[in-house]
Amino acid sequence: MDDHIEQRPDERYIDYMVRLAEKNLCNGIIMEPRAFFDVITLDDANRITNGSPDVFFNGEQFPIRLTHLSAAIVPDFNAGAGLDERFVQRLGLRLTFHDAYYMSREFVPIPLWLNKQVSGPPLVTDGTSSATFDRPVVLSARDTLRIEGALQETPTNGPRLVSASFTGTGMLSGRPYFFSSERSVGDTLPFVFEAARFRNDGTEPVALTDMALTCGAELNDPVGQGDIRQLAVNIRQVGNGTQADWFQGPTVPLSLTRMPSVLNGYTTGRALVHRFPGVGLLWEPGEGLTLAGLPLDASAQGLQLGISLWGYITVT
Amino acid sequence: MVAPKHIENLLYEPRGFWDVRQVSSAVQPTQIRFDQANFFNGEKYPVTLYRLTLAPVGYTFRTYANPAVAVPTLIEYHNDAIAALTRSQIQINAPGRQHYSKRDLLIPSWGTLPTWEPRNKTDGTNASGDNSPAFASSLWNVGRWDFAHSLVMPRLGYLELDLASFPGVLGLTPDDAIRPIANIGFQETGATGADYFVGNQRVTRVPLEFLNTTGPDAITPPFFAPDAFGFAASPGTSTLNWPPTSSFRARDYDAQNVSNRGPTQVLGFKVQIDQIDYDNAVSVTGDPSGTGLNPVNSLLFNVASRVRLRNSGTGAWWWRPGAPLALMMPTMTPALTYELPVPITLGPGDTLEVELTVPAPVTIDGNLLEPNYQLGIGFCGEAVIEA
Repeated sequence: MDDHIEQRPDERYIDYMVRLAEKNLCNGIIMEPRAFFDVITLDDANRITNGSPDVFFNGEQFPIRLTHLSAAIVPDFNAGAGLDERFVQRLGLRLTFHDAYYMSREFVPIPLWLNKQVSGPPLVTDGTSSATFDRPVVLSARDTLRIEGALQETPTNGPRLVSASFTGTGMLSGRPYFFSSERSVGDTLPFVFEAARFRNDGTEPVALTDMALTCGAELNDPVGQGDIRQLAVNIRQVGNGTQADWFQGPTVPLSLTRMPSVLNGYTTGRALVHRFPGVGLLWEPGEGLTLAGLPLDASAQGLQLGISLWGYITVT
Repeated sequence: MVAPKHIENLLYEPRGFWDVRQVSSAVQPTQIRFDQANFFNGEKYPVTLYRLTLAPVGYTFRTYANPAVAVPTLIEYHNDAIAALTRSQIQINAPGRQHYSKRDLLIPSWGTLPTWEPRNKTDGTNASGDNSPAFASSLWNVGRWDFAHSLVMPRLGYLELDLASFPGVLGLTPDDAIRPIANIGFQETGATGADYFVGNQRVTRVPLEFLNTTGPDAITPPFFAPDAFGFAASPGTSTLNWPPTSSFRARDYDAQNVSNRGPTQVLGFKVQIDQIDYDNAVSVTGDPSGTGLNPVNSLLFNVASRVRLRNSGTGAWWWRPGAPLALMMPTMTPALTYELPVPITLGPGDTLEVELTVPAPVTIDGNLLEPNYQLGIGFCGEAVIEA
């Protein structure tokens, strides 16, 4: 790739700057998924609530490209109140970066952010989130994935069957690979999926292209529909890769180390998904954005809004 | 679908054709033809249609059942939106050149695109009981149209979107506590070069009005019957079909212009209807079964609309005013959406033929089941205008 980009004679300076930023879309040695997530309690009608300042920020030393935003009401288990997901209709959202508002200076109701179809078959969409990686993840020979999860709430009708799975292609043979592990979970204690199931024991690196997380129904529940809102996970590669957590959440006022899996439905699921136009957001180290939410109606006070930005880091 | 860049010397403006017909299976003929005048291209530009939408229009409930009635009678059984859509047949023909079938086909047999949102999770519980109620109409209730080609709008142009007042439901008190709210957004980007305000959106939030169809101030809904089965007899207060409070006003639209240097490309629009309180009220007082469980239909089926570009472009309404929103939002909609494998181009003076067949009357134990069906059809595309 040519490292030197000239401004064209008839080109506006802003266009030139945008083109320079797009230069970052180069291939790296390692490209690994990243999601930045926060859970914001929207306190009061007509009061703007900002997200945690340390979340939506590139704290690593390599550039990050963000392609999707997802949003959903997540259960407020501290309050113990019932959850009605429909109230996401009454929340407005605004992003600010480089002194510019996105998508408007007005708070855009979250359903109007939606520009990507993610609804899966009704039989599984309640309990499944899946995502296609923008860039494949290379799982080198002898590498594995550490996937830590926890239920949000103790099941009352028996344990839930949860799973994590990845599909990919052998980088030499071209053969398909499927890595998956499931586990029966009956409490809210953190657990780690069996790492041996994700270990690449072959002789070639595997390019992982897709992932899926599922959370089944409670075993003795007569209704077999799962509920992906009950699961939260975090992932990191063991072996090569950056060895950093793929999902990065807030540390204040409450440290969240696992991302609610409902937010992981960038390809299929039940979160509202917005695909950033063009090349998406490009964050150099130290760059970030500010997120603000606003209840558009008094009835939306106290709701917990989960937000995530999804993309990948490019290690050059 | 991502709108490609503006093509030089051609302007594209969205266009739609639609019609809604109510047919009784108890009255012959049960095969009718939609009014050809409603698919007539009366402009001087060709219109290319690439998507087809089909929807039950005006229904209060998505599905309806009254378990308290042992023998189904007139309005007690399969008189709902899904039944109307799944039992009817349709045939489409561009005269002289394109026949989409030789005979009428069941509407669900038109292979639909996945254009709807995830459903509400209403079944199953956990300790918090954190699900939406069974009668909830939808999770997000959003519709959108991403244009195949962007609409280029000059600096001083603006878009005007009006939503009609709609009939309420029998027994419902039309007050602010249950008034649905519409959120409207137009997404846009710059018209030239690298667009540094990509993804901008102009938005507004407007209340919907309940139409008065009874009493001394009553007006007749001009677009389609409020409810095929008599659930709706609106006690509303609005005597205007197009109340100004339910419009995306030019002042609000213009105030959100982020570019002061040139035209913008409009990539599409979205309408979301917050009907949570309306759903709650209908389940309590508007459900004749008394169960409070029948799922309420999305108001995207029932609220009429019209849109046009002002101060530039053709200035014409994009479709005959009054189209239910669901028929004119073919990218995301609760309507059944079908992508025409070969787009239909209607030249000036051209039209379409659309036939609808409803099933024969059904009786159970001598009781005639609800014979009325009310269905809408829409064609979405764009006028191609030489600049």
